[in-house]
This record gives sequence, structure tokens and C-alpha cells, in this order.
Amino acid sequence: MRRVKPTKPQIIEAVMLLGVFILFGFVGSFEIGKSGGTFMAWWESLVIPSMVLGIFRYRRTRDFLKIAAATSAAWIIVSFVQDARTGFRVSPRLAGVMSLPSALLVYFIMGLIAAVIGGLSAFFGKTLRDVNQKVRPIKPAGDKPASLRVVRR
Amino acid sequence: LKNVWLRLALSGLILIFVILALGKRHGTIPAMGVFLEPYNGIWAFGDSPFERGRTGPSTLKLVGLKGKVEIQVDQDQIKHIFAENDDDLYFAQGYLIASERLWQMEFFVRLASGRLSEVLGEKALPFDKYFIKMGIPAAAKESADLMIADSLTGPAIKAYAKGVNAFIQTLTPASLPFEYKLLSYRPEEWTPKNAALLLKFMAYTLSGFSHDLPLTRSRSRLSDTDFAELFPLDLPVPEPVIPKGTHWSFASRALPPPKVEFQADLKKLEPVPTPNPANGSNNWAVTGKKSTTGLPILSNDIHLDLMLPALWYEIQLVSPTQNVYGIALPGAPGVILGFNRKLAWAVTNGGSDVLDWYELRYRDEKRNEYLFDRGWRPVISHEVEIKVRDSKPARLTLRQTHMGPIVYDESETPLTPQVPHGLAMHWAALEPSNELKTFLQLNHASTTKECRKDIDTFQTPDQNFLCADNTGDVGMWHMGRYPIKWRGQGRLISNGASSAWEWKGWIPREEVPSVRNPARGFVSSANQAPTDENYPHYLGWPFDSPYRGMRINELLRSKDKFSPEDFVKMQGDTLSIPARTILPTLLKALKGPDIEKKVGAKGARALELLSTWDYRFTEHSTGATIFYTWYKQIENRMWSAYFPNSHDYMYPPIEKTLQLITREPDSKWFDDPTTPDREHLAQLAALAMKDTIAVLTKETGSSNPDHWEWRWSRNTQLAHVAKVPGLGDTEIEAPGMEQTIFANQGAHGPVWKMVVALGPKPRAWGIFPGGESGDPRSPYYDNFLKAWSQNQLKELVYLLAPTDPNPRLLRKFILAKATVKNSPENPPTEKPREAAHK
Repeated sequence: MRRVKPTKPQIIEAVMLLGVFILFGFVGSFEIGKSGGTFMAWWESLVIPSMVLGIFRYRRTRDFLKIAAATSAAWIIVSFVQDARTGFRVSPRLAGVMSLPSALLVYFIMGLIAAVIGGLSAFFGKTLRDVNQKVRPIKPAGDKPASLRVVRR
Repeated sequence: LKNVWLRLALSGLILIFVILALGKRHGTIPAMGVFLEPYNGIWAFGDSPFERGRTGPSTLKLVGLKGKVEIQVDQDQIKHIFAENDDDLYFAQGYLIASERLWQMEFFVRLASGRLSEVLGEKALPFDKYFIKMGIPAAAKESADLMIADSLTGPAIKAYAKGVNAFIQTLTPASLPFEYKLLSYRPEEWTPKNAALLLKFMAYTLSGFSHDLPLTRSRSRLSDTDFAELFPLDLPVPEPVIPKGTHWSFASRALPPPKVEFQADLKKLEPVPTPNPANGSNNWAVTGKKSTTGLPILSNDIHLDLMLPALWYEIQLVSPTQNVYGIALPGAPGVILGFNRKLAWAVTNGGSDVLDWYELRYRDEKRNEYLFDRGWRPVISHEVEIKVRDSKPARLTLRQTHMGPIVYDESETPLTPQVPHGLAMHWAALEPSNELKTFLQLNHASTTKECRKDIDTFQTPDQNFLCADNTGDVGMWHMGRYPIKWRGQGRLISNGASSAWEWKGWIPREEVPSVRNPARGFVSSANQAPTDENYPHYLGWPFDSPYRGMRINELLRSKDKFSPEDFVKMQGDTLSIPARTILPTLLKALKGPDIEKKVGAKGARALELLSTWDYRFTEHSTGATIFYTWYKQIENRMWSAYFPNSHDYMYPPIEKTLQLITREPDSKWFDDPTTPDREHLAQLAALAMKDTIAVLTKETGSSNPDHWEWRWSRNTQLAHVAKVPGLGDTEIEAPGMEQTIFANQGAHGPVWKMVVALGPKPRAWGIFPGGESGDPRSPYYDNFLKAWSQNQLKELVYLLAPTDPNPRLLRKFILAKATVKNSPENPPTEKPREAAHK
């Protein structure tokens, strides 16, 4: 088989992605150790989809808010379903634990956490895409995100 | 390019910072991200198959079982376990209780062993130091060795531990119990020795208190005559546990007391924490001649701190050797209190004095040697290390004398003001003991005669054991390991420099106070003095006040025959004998046309309400609130001039105060020494009523006495075991107070109520404050609370076989044996299986 020599942009892209994975993997493994054997760290299910959304769908500033709202809603809906399974006993207990006057505030705080992490992850994803484009410029075509297109060399 | 890279780096760093910040605990604030994350965080919970409404398999295969175990779950989530052998029975019990109470079990083990700081950090360090210094972990270690070596308790605690560990192995981050997620740690492996720690902790709760220090302080402020008058060794005992006039055929073995009273150096006597001295209980039983069933009926309600998760776990355990129902201590095998087909047993705290403090006279400032008789003895010191979460380990020096540990050295600050520092402690609970054996034997016993034999090994905390069987035999024993003392020994701080103050052996078991099938047709106890003054041995001073016992006996004499329903009703009785004793005298003392002048308009209204009060501490009673506060104010006015407060000093016993009010209204003790006038009861009662109005107006926020209902004044609340806000229940309306049979003190009260009617098949009723589940999210966390507060006992589902039909049974589960290759039971011929829990 003929060995293909990678181009400089490909090497930079590979190193960059590797760096991101090592960084998040390191932080993730640290968290995994603390939380006692989860398959994923607590934030990974939030950060990875948000980052992907950032890479593919983040165009304007308001997209930040949209993605943040979407991740927030996702957490709130899943928690609401879990709360409903216990006859809504969790949120009032949590409000008591956190010395909050209302169970709704528990949802609010949780939604806020999801929104902040989701939004930041999306922004990071978008920046990642920007860096990628700088390193390996691609001619834009139509509405398709650059990273989805096949690049002929 | 530069800007894009910068943006990438900055956004990445901020994201990581936020993730790390939300993934870390900050003091008492949990790691919010981990905590609130919806998939594995606090919203998620394990699918316990044993709880109604949860899904899960009806057969679980567990490694470690020898055969099949059937579990019937009733509508209250009580589990009825049917096993083919005792090992499987205790294995299943451990598995089930861990599945609902794991965190609670482990918390108490950590508390008793002085290891809370490992998971809670520095704030738990004073508690850890205290329990280690009290010697509980060391004593539990010796007791655990006894338990493991015993042929009955050894296999039981080992099988139980295997069951607990089988459950721990099934845990995932999502199914971790609530508090582990909240406090961010995981359970450790359960060891058989943990049972010993839990039982020693129970011994601490029920016998780890002493009046030595506050009484010594009070003694220092009184002349000999006044001390003898206010704190008489011979307090009236109208209704001792063992009926008055019982003849004793033995004499005291105690040596005569020293001729000179020892006076402790009060400068050194800074205060150690003590459990609630009000921990007590009621038990009584009628013989067949006084019961509607023709066979004994037994009642028990035990009073401890109210808490959530509930202290006890209700369960039925059935194997070829036993069929027992009752309450188990989460973390220990078997049933602690309950009944089987033929026998029922009940306990109340004995309250005899088995803990004394000794003042030491050191040779020099190094404090390495202390005087004893005519020689110097060494203080043996060694250091221990306490692991502290998020901090460096703490080091602790333990100092030991031949009498016992020096709990706090002079240079240390005690945890609370009731433990003196610089003194050595002699406490019977530090002796190696196997109390679990007593309970497991009772689980198997059939007769009251066997019961007497089984409790012979019981040491601390001393208990009034009541046993009744279905042949009609009833007996009560004030059982425990009691030191032989001279009369009054150990009431005050003792002299550690002389052998005259040492304990002189133990009272023989055959000489403990006891009664069997008395002519009056009933036996009862309510923590009062066990005997009258004719009992040859000295057991302690003071015992709990006699009023609950008097009320129980009064009710038991009021009818010829009692049904189980009568006993349930009795458990809810709220009549106060102290109120009935002194209120007429107090009202009479204030009677007159100028009453408004003496106590004001509101005071006059309060007296009017009291004059029609029925002496009952019911939820809506205003008289109860006024009387309770009035009595406290009278007591304060009488004694605060002599003793600065009722925490560091001991006030004279309530019996003495009541006696002065009813019989000596002109006593000098009603006079306020700070005023030139000579006050009598009438003046003091009027002033106390004015105080009462002020106190209640402030406490309730209303100045109208008609609004001062007992339910508002005495708010009943169940705090979470670790005092986590939001996990307790605070808005409960329940009747009663410490001197009534329903002994609800707000944060302390009956934690298990039970009535058993013995017969060919026993019938029983019971309730406890809380629920079976230890999960604050479960509907079974506190589902019994309302019924408990209204004294509604539920009929217990006692099954003779797993196939016994009962409309209250909901679901059946099977625990089956799973096999693992290379295990001792299974030679390596089968296919390997990784998971312990399928």
C-alpha cells in the first residue's frame, strides 16, 4: 500500500483535536474517579452534544442563547420526569436542603447550570470550528457547515 | 489567527473552570453540577424492586445464598422474609435493610467509631474525638470479638454483612442513596464488627449519661442540711417497677461509705456531651386473669430522639428455627423488640447508675502519674490518627487510668458542658459484652422462663425486660451489669485517689430486682425507680420521675379486664399527674377578688382556662400550654437564686418541688433571697404567672391566652439523622409531654409503639414515626407519621407461612442462589459470572 504523507493542515487539525480530547478526557477521568465509577463524568452528556451543536449550528450571537436554552430545557425535562416518578417529592426536599423557599427555584438553578455549561460548550465548539477553518481554509458553499463538506485536494 | 486561538484558549479555560467549580464541594454546599445532574444525580434513584410502584425483577439471584428466600411485601412495605436456614435469613435481612437504610446504617457506624470526619470533614472532628475518647470504638472491638466467637451471633453477623455487601455491589452512581450523593462519598464494605459498634452506640444513648457533675455543682452551693432536704436519697417511690413490699432474701455486699464526704475541686470541672437523659420508655402487661383474651397482653413504647430516617426497621423473620416479628436495628441481625408465636418481650431503660467520674490527683504538672491509695499509678497514653476529609489527619492523645479513660484532658475544650474534663470515667458499657446474643436468643425463645435465661447475658444499657408467653406466664427483670456500691456512691464526683470509691464487683444476676406473675395481675415500668427502699443493693440516684409509671398503674387498676384496644388507648393517654397534683393548690393560692391586680387581666384569663382544664396535654389544649410554662417559671423562680441555671447545675427533682408546693406553701424555698420581703407560694405563683404571660406572648406571637394551643407551643419535629435541613419533617401536630404516657417531647418521643395479644396465633399492633424507607424521595419515608401522631396503631401482618393469605400482602419476591466459578461452594466447573448481582 502506498503511504500517504499527511499535509501540514491535517497534522495541525489532528494535534488540535487530540489536545482537546486529552484535556477533556483528563478532566473527565478526574471527575469519574470522584463520582465513583460513572461511565461518563457528570458534565459529559451536556458538554459533548452542546459542543457538537456549536460546531455545526452556531452562526450568530443569538445561537448561543438558543443552545443554552435547549440544554437547559433538556435537563429540566429529564429532571421533571424523574421528579414525577416520585410523586414530586424530590424538588421540595431539595428546596429544603438548599434552603430555597420554593421547589421551582431548584429547577431554576439546575436550568441555569445547564444553560451556562451548554452555552459555553457551544461557544467553544464554534471557536474550534473557527480555528479549524483558519488552519484549513474551506470555500463556503451554500448553507452546509464547512466541516460537513468533503474537501478535494 | 492569533485572535481565534486566543478565543479558543479562553473559552476552553472558562468552560473547564465552570465544570470544575460545579464538580467540587464548597464547604457544606454539595458539588452542584454532580448533585443536580438529571441522569445520575439527585433526581435519579435505584429501582428498588421492594418498593411499591417501582419496577424491577421479582427474582434476584445473589451470590452467597445457600438456598431460596421468599419475601412477602405488605402494603406498608413491611418485608416478611421466609428462608430455608438462619444464614440465608440474616443474609436476606442484611440485603433488604441495606437496600433501604444503607446510608443511615453506615452513618451511625461512622459516628460510633469516630470516623465521621473522613466523610464530613473538620466540622465532625469534635464528635469523632469525643466518641473515641469515651472509649466506644475500643469497647466495640472487644465486644465484636465476643460476638464473632459466639456460635449464635458469629454466623448471624457474618451472614448479615454478606447480605449488606451483596447490595453494595449492585450500586451504581444513579442508584446511590440520596445522602451519599448529597455529601459526595460512597459506602465502604460492611464488616460483621459494625453490629458491635451499633450496639455500643445504643448503650451510650441509654446509659452514657451521668448527673455527677451538675449535682456536684449544686452540692457546692448548699449546706449539708439543705442538700439533704432538696436532694434526698430517699425520694418518694409511690410505684416502683417491682411492687412495693417485695421481700428480698439477700443482703447488700457493699462496704460502708467513707466517713468524710469527698469534695471535688470545682475549678477543674469544666464540662462532656451526654445523650438525652429523658431517653426512656413504657412497658406493661396484664396476666390472663386481667385480660379479655384470657392470656397475657403486652404493651411497649420506647422513647428516643425522633428522627428521619426512622430509627427502627419493621420486619418479620422466618426460618425453620424461628418466626419473629418486630423492629430491627438497621445494621444488626435479628429483631430487637417484638414477638414470636409463643413469646413477646418489651423493654424500658433501667436507668441505674453505671457511669461514675473520678477526680485524679496528679503527682506533678506532667500529669503522667496519679495517686491511688498510697502509691502512684501511671497514666497510659497513646496517640491515634483521625482521617479528615479535605484536610490533614488529626492526631489525638488517649489517656487511660485503671478506672477508665480520661475523656477530656485539662487543656482540651469539651464538646458540650456536661462532661467534666480532667476526670477519669468508669462506665460499665466499656466492658466487653454480647447484647446481640440476648436478642437473637429471645427471637428463638418460647417461654418466659427461657426469656429469663436469655437475658442473663445482657449487660448495658440496663433494661427493664418484660416477657409474656402464651401459657400465661409474665415476668419483669431490671437486668444489667450493676456495680456493687455503697448507698449514694457515685452520686457526686468521686475520689479517684482512694479505693474506697472504687466499684466492688458486680451485683449477682439472681439478685437483680424482678417480679413474676404478681398477685395484682399486671407488671409495668416507665423508667422510675426499680424498687422501694427495702431493696438491699444501691442502684443509683435519681431515676426518672415516677409519674408515667403512676398513671400506667392507675389505669391498670381502673378495670378488671383489658383488651388490646384498651392498651392502644392507654398508649395515647395524655393526662399529667404532676398537673393534677399541684394545679388545685396553685389555683387555690391565687384565688381571690384581687386576682387581676396580682396577675393582670391576661393572667386572670389564663387562670380561668386552667380552672377548667382536664390535665390532658392534647393538641388543642390551651391549659396544657399555660400550665407547662407556668410550672417552668415557678421552678425557675424557686431555684435560680440558688443554682445559676438548670444545665450546669441540677435543680431539685420534680418530686421534691411538687412536695413543697402541695405540702409546704410557706417553705423558705419559696422566698426570693434577693428581696427584703418574705415570699410564700402565693406570691411566687403570681409572679411566675406574670412571667408565663410574657414568655408565651413572645413565643407564640399572640397575647391572647385562648390562642395558646399546645400544638403550637410544643411543635413536634423529626430532624434528619445528620441534621440536613429539608430532609426532616417539622410540621407535625402530636399530643403529650414528658410526664404523660404519650411521652412526646417535641424532638423526642415514642419511636416504636407495640401491643401484643398472645394466643395460639399472636395478634399485634404497632406504629413508628417515619416509614420503612430511608430514601427522602420515597413515599414510605414518613408515611406512618400521621397515624403515629394520632396514636393509631396498625394491626401487624404476622404470617405463619409464605402462602398465608392476607389481603394486605402486595407482592412476592424470590432471592435465589447465584453461582460463581472458583468460589469455595462452587468448584471451577461452571461458567464464570462476573456480577454478584444478576
